[in-house]
Amino acid sequence: MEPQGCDDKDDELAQVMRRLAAGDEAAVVTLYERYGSSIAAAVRHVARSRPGRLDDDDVGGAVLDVCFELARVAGGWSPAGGALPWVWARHRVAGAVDRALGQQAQSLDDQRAEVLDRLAAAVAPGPSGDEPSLLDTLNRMASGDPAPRPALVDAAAMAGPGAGGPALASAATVPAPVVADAGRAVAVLDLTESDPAGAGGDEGAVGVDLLAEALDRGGVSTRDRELLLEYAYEKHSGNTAPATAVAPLFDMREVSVRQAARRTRERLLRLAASEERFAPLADLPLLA
Amino acid sequence: MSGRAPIRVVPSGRAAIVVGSTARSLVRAEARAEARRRHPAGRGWRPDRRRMLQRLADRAYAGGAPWPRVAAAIVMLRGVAGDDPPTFAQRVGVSASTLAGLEAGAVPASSIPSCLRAVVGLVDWAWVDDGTRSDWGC
Repeated sequence: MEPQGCDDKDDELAQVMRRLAAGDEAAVVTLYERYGSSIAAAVRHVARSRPGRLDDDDVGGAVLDVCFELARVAGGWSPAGGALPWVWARHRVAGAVDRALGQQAQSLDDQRAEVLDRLAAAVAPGPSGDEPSLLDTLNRMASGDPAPRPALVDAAAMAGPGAGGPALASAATVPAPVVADAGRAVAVLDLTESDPAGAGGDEGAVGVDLLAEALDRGGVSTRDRELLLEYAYEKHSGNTAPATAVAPLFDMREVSVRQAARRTRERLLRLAASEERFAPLADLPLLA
Repeated sequence: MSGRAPIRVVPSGRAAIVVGSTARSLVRAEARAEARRRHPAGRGWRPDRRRMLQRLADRAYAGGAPWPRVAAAIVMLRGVAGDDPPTFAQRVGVSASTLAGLEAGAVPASSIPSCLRAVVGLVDWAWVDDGTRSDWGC
């Protein structure tokens, strides 16, 4: 009787992963051929949690990406852990899915798209090309000078057709660093907009300034500020597992990310409850 | 070709390089792969070998291989067979250094052993032959 079943299969997979770890490129093909359908299932599973839709061609590309990603990290996988490689490296599967879906997780209505188009047209690429962090964006928005709070203007533009006209007109003055990544900036605005009705104008500015001040008053560390914003951004973008996406950015475990985000939220909410001037923060979606 | 690895096409239509005592295990692996493809979780997905070949060729080209399509084709065949380099070299009857040269894309398509060219259904050999040092780009 020849050995078959799980042990046989596990041994085969472990052997493929060992070859990958040793830098054998042909093992990528072996992985793709023999386990591609399982990886495709994992890709589809992740894709179901995302807005947007992957067609078969996209899934095929993502599976290839995952195979080559697994080749890069194969040395870290151990069969003793019990997890399949594509489950163990689920962040990389998620990354491949996100790349396949595109970076714009939120659906864009015509008005948002127009705002983004105007921003992109008005802003020359930054000298470094580095992506500004959400915290940088928030700080610039809150500082009030010398930038004319462009993103807040965008918030007004997105709030409704009635509020859009003047805001769109002034979007051309947006300074480059603030909107170098317009999509993320827009998401931040959605998170920090204090006026639920989206009346626009300076009312949005109160939310951003107040939030920045509250973060200072609450003694929230720079890392925790950044983490909260990234976490909220992922959550707001429809990611049902935001900690999974954020943890690699901070080299933290998912559970630690969730704890840190909750700690910061609770700190800000306590501040909102104890001081009347910070009370509007309690309504922020960011702190929901 | 005398003494070289015979080619066998398994029931699913996929070609496999089969020889001696390894024949049964390769067929069994193929059967398992076929079962996985039938499983609902993976239904609708088929390996896109052309895409994989192109990706491998892109990587070989980026790595400076003079004949990246040769490298892609040989790596592809060895990957489908699931062999390590010594086993595959023995299977196809070439020396380890020859196989290394082929996988590195250091030799032209004319150097590919005929026993490998006899494998059909996995690699488009016309595509490999088209990829010369001077006219191919990614």
